[in-house]
Amino acid sequence: MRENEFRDRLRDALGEPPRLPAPQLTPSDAGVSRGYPRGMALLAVGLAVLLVLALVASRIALRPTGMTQPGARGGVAMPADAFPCSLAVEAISTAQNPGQIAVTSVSLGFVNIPGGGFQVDPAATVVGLPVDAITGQNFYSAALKRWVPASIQTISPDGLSYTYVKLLPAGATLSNATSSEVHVFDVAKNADRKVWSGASNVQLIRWDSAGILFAVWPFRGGAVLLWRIDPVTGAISQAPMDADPTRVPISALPGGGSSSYLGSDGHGQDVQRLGSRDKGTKYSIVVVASGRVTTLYTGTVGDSMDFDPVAVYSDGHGMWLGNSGGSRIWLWSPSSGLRSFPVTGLPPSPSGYAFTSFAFIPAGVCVPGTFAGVAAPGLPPATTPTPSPSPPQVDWAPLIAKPLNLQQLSSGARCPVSTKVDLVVTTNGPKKGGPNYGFGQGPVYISGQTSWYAGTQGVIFLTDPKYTGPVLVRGMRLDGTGSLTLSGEGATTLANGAIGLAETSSPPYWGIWFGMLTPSAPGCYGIQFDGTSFSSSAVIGVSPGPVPPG
Amino acid sequence: MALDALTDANRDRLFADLVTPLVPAAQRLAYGMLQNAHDSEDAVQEATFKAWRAFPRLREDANHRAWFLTIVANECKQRRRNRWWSILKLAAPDHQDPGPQGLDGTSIDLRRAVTRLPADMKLAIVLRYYLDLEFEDVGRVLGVSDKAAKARVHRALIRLRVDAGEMLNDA
Repeated sequence: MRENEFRDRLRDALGEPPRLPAPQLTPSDAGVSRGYPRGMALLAVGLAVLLVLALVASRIALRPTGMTQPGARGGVAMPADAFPCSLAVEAISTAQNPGQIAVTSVSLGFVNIPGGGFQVDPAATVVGLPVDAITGQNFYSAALKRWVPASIQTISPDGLSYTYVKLLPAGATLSNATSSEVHVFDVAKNADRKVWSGASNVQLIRWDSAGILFAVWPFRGGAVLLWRIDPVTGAISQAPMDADPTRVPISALPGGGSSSYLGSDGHGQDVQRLGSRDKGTKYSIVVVASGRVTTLYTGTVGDSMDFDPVAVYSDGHGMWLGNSGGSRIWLWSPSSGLRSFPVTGLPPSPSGYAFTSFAFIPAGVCVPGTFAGVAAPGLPPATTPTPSPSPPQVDWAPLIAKPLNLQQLSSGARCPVSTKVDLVVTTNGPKKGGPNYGFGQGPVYISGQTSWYAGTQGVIFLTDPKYTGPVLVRGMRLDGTGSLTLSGEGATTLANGAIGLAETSSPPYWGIWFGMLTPSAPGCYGIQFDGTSFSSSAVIGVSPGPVPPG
Repeated sequence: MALDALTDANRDRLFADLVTPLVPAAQRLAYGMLQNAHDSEDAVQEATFKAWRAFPRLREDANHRAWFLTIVANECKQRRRNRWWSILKLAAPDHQDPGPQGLDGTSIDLRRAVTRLPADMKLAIVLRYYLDLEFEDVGRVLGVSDKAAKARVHRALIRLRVDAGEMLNDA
């Protein structure tokens, strides 16, 4: 599937945002010290009291123990620095060409530490084990000496069981499920047990010593509730809101700076990045556990450390972290600090792709000894995906050579705005339709807005299926100085602000290109479309900005 | 000139000039994440005030759009997490808009599958496919590199394929 097609489907599914009022930009705009929306200020005191009570209660219930190094899941306890060992990983190869969703391959295997060689586990299989309706992740249990269809979050602390979600009736999908069940599967005993059921959506969050934490909300959308199950007794209780692993203590964010959740190690330790990615900016990688924040690394964006974690897991050695790009594995422990192990044995990059990447997701303990598996396979070359992986090559020179027919208006002349044309647009998307209007003479129309403003806004170019070739788009202001900038995925940027659309319609379906249009100033603007068999234009009137929301 | 050296009035004007063009994207991000108009409005409002408070410490050469969208994204995630709490205490009705009318089965599947994504995966999908950001900009908001942003988007797509498989695998 092409990215634009997925984008179209996603927009259909989520809908366009309604017009929302512009926010008050500063407290002085609000005329009060704090402009809480819709009377929230009236509830603030009461909620604050409730919040304090909840926090106190949760702290008592959870008995925080501070930053401790957890034992390995799967019953393997080992001292730090017990090398060599083999770290279980999910290895993800990704390859992509512009305009297409990536091709991805997942291999299960081990990275030998400290040497760094990656080996695929040829015996890795989860066939025959119940699989979660959602996650699709895998985990290596050292206790079971096998892979299971679980994630770091859904494996039991002893590594012998995992929890998963089942949708009912059997074979149901999210669109027709009537209920969900949370199950615990004991792999060693081959025993399955239902521990919760309800007519709701379920998302498993983590299984730790406190039980199985999961979120529940109605199938048709609604309030999210956090619950915790004792897998032994089946007792269920509502969980405190600070049980959410993506939560960062306010104390860790002095000055209201930004934070990014990077992952959870499955033992109650969550890794966050504090600070932006702007070059030269100071940032920190921190571990949050039981409300305490421990800094793993503080550096400056662009420094030589290349510490860019993407996933985490803890065992007796410390906390393992995958790195963006897959070039190394990191290990952090309170006693030894931060170390890195360069990885070798990456699968060969497939040919024919503009972009390839490789990432390791820690998926279990670092097992004592060196693992001898097989070399990682590469992805097939780019000829496999359909439709063709790259847009057709277009010689734009003949279209650029066509005369620009847009004429400057004389002073005071009225802007000859194009009349709206009703269209019946059929697309290959799930709704089999698109915008039902456009402006212009065809076969290419400008659409997506009925009013235009100075500033950046979305634009759609619709191409009637009676024309299938490339289209050159040029724009200019007709009543003064100013520019019209067009940009978007799938468009070739050409000289003098023109863009080229190599792929347009595919009969019987219309071509739909989504992009951004930016008139630099209010005024009258002309847009000319040139194809191999036509030249046409549309004229739009642009009002003063900013572009209204929505 | 350092931002913290500006007078309050000048700083407010500079802040308004900087943030106003970003509001449409912020509102789109909030709606994509929360799927509720009122929640989106509140999230953007709250994020705007947080941005205003943090503005004096913003570096002049910082990427303003990523900075503001990151604050909005964090606010949305915070609201998503805290939703159950406000529901219980305020007895508010259903907090998710019913969705666009006339959706077919595949769109309903996709909407639900996106709703079920963990917050960070959902954020990656919304930034990439609902706001049309380049991976570099997606990474800036997520606080990861562009490669890591690609990986996160792809992992989210893998999960969506599992959840709404037929419709994403049919091409």
